[in-house]
Formats: sequence, C-alpha cells, structure tokens
Amino acid sequence: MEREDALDALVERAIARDHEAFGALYDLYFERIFRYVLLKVGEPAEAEDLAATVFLNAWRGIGHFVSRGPGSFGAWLFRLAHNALVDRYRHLREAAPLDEVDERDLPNDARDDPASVLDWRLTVEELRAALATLTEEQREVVLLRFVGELSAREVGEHMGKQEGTVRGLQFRAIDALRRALVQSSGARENRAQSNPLWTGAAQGKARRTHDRA
Amino acid sequence: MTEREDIFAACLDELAAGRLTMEQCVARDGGADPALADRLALARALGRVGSAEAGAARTRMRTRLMAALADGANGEDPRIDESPTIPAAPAIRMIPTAAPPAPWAASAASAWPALAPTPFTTIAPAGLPGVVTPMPGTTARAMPHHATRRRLVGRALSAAAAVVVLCVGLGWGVGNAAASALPGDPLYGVKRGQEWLALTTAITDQRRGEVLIAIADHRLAEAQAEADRGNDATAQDLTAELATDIQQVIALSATMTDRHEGTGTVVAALAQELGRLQRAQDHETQRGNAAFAQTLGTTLANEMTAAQNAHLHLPKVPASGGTHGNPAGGHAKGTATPSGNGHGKGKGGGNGTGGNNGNGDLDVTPTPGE
Repeated sequence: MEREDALDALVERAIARDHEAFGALYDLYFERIFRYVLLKVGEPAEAEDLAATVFLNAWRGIGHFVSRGPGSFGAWLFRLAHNALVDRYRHLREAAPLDEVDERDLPNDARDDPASVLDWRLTVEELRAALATLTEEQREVVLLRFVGELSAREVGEHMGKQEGTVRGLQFRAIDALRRALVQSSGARENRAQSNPLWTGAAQGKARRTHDRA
Repeated sequence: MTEREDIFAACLDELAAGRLTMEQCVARDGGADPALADRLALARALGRVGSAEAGAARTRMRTRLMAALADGANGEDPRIDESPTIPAAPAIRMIPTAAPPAPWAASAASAWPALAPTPFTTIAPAGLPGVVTPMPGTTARAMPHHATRRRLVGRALSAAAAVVVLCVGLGWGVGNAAASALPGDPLYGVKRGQEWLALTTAITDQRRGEVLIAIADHRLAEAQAEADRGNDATAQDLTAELATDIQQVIALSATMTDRHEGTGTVVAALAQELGRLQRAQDHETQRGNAAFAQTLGTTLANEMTAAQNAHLHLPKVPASGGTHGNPAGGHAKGTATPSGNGHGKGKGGGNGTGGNNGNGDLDVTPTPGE
C-alpha cells in the first residue's frame, strides 16, 4: 500500500508538471514499456524510438490522466504504448509482425515429462516466434502480464476484461507459449542436435551444480 | 477457473507480493499440478527477456527526455487524451524547420509572445471590419442578401487565408530563429524539441543515423559559438553531447552492418561530421584556443577509434562539405590506430588519430598491417 501511495504521489506531482517526478516514473516504467514494444516490433532501435514516443506523449497528456485506482497509471502507459504501435503500423501500412492465428493452429503436443523444469533462457527472437503462434488475446496477456509485469486487474482494465477472466486466460496463455517454445526447441534440436539457448532440466541442473562447485 | 488456473494465479500473486518463493509455492501445491514449477519459471523468465537492451535504452533516452523537458516541453497538449489512438508526433524536418508542435510552440509563446502563432480558433470572420453582425434576437431572415453574403464570405476566406499565411510564416520564423539558438536562448528549447521529435519519429535506422548526425552537427556549431563567447564549460558539455551522438551513430552503423543493411549514407554523413570536427579543431588551434582545440582533438580521436573498432570504412570527405570551421581545410596527416593513441602530425593540439590529408580530405586510412 505504501508503494501505491508513493506512486500516486509521484503521478500527482508529474501532473503538476514536476520534471523530477516524471523522471522517477520514467525510471519505474521505461524498461517494461520498452520490452513490451520490443517484443512487438523486434528491433531495439525502433523499440527505443517508440518507447520514447510513449513517454513524450505521456508527458504531453498526463494532465488528462484520471486515476482509477492503484496501478492505473501503468495501464495508461501501456495503452499509450499500444496506441503508438497501432499508429506505427498504420503509418507503415504493413501488417503487424505478430499475425493472428487460429486456435486450431496451436501446437498440441506437450512435452513428455510435464514435471521437469526447463532452464528458460529466451532471446527476443525466440520469444517473438513463439508468441506468433498464440492467439491475439493470449499474446496480449503474456506481453502485458509477464513482460510488462502488470497485475491481472491492470491487464483486465487494459483489455476490457474482468480480473477473473484474465487470471484464467494467463494460465492458458502461458501454457500455449510453453508448448510453442518446447515444440520450436524440439524442431531445432532435431536439426542441430543441441541448442545452447535451450537446455533441458538435466543440463540446467548440471550447470547449477557446476556453478556451485 | 479450473483448479490449476487458480493455483497458478495464486502463486503469481504470492510471488509478486514476495510472500513466497517459487519453491515454497510449488511445495504448497503438493504436486496437484506437475507443470506448475515450469510455468512459473517461464513466467519469471519472460520478465527478463530484452532486459539488457532495455537497461541501455533507458539510460540513453533518459538524458534526452529530461533535457527536452527542461528545455521547454512544459506545454500541455490539450489534444492528447485517452482516445483509442494517439497520433504520433509529426515528422519535423531539421532544416528548415516546420512549425513547432504544441509543447514547443507553447514554450516559445511564453518566452517570446510576439512570435507565437495565433490559434485559428481565436480568429472569427465576424469580427473583421465590415462584417455585419446580426443583432441579438434576429433570425436568419435578417441576414444580408446573397450578393452581400458572397462578398462577406469572400472577405472571410481572404482573411482566413491571410491568417494561414501569417501563421505558417510565424511558425517557420520561430523554427528558423530556433535553428541558430544557443543554450540559454529563449528558443533553444524549441530547437532541442525539434531534434527530439525528429529523432523519435525517425522510423528507419538510416533516418535515425542522419538525424543523429544533424544533431551532432548542431552541438558542434553551438560548442564553437560558446567557445567564441568564452563559455568554455558549456562548450565542453556540448562537445561531450556531440561525442555521445556520434558514438550512437557508430553503434547504429555497426548494428546495421551486422544485419547486412546498407550503411553508405549514414557512414558518409558520419565521415563528413568527423571532417567538420577536424576542421573545427584546426580553427580553434588557429584562434589560439588550445584547450578547446584539445577537447575537439580528443573527441575526434576517440570517435575515430570507435569507428575503426566497429570496422566502419569511412570514405574520404571533400573539405568543402563543411558548413563551418576553417574553410582552408586542415593540414594534419594522421593515421588511425585501434588503440586510440594516435600520432597525428597536425597542429591540432589534440591526440588526433584522424587527420586531414593536406588536400582537405579526411584521411582515415588505417596504419598498414592493422
């Protein structure tokens, strides 16, 4: 609660055109916004431009921000990010790189051993490829909830859904993503026998043991 | 929600609140969901993807953002709201400039009201001389006949056109006046705002590189002007800024090369900028400003080294390409070394690794054998 109060105070000061407060909000949110945008566009330089645009627009429009409770500022920033992306696609006259897919396109085969824990070391490219196999809704939940680190309530506010709906959706989204990553890893392993970016539980355990040693 | 969905959601909440570790959460579940640990691990890993890029970007962009805010981005744009899409900032040409966007215009208005464009909404044709304003309480039937109305409409349109011309002219004037503004000038904020917008709206890497070079060139001109005024500290700060801009161009070019994208335009612009830097150093040396000349020389040396380390092949640049500096061209023959401890023979005073080959061309040929 203290953190939320502090955040509200920062937002209030920023609304009053306090540069320092806005800088603090920038520090709090920039990386999350950047990573969200990066996973949408794929190019760090472009993501940097878009994230900068988000914060410039936030500064220009912060006088119109109306708090709807804890975390609503974060949700508002992500809405600006979404708007900037929509605007960018409109300008480029190109389809979003993450095309919508039908549910039936989702990979079905889960891993043989569901209980094993993978050492998830993902690159932006790998994750983007896996995200492209998710539905639009699942993808947005993954990006907002886990990459953008918004709460389920904030994600719901952003997507126009109930918090409970998001809590169910996030499970199905992470599960679909997990299957997609496993499948793509399997395909790569078939081709290359080994994958330095994708290691199984045994390899992860061995590495941890080695690190401890 | 199913039981697994519920357990997963509850665990995420506990982890976010710091009440439980992942292992504790999985243990609490008691094996009801064998894949819970893996799902949680993946969720956690997602929060780290792109972190390295994000951290670097945050530091880089923060300086620019705060500089833009401090320099005049105080105006609030009433057009921004929570509508479904917010239009991106308009593309602003660096030179000549278009009318500044609202925040910068607002800044200019407060600093220099005479130059602030008049909003269209305050111009009402009915207020023009000769326009008959209906008396209160009259109806449309009280309006003048058609000929008079046409004449009035014609006058109103002429007046509106005049206002448009005036606004465009004033906006262009503000932009042009801002182009030569120096730190502390009322319009300097407008200038920095235009740069910021141009950079943030540069869609392609090539355009971004060109804008960065243009910005670096602004800083160089400003640094020289400040040095002329005797403001050495400001000149040093501006030189440091230009060095950062050039380093970004070098990094960008290297990235583009890695992606097998054409870098010809950007690298050529970079070489020209380094040539201007060289000439500025010569100019300052001739003026007897050894300290600033040394700063420029050191900056040039560092940038040349960085360019070489990035394996950029800089073309030779004709001396006439500069817009400022010593038109007589340089007189140093320098060779670049990867170590950065160059051995330029020029009288620049710095440890310049790049030099001018005597014909006014920037010579960045590496030492044989490197």
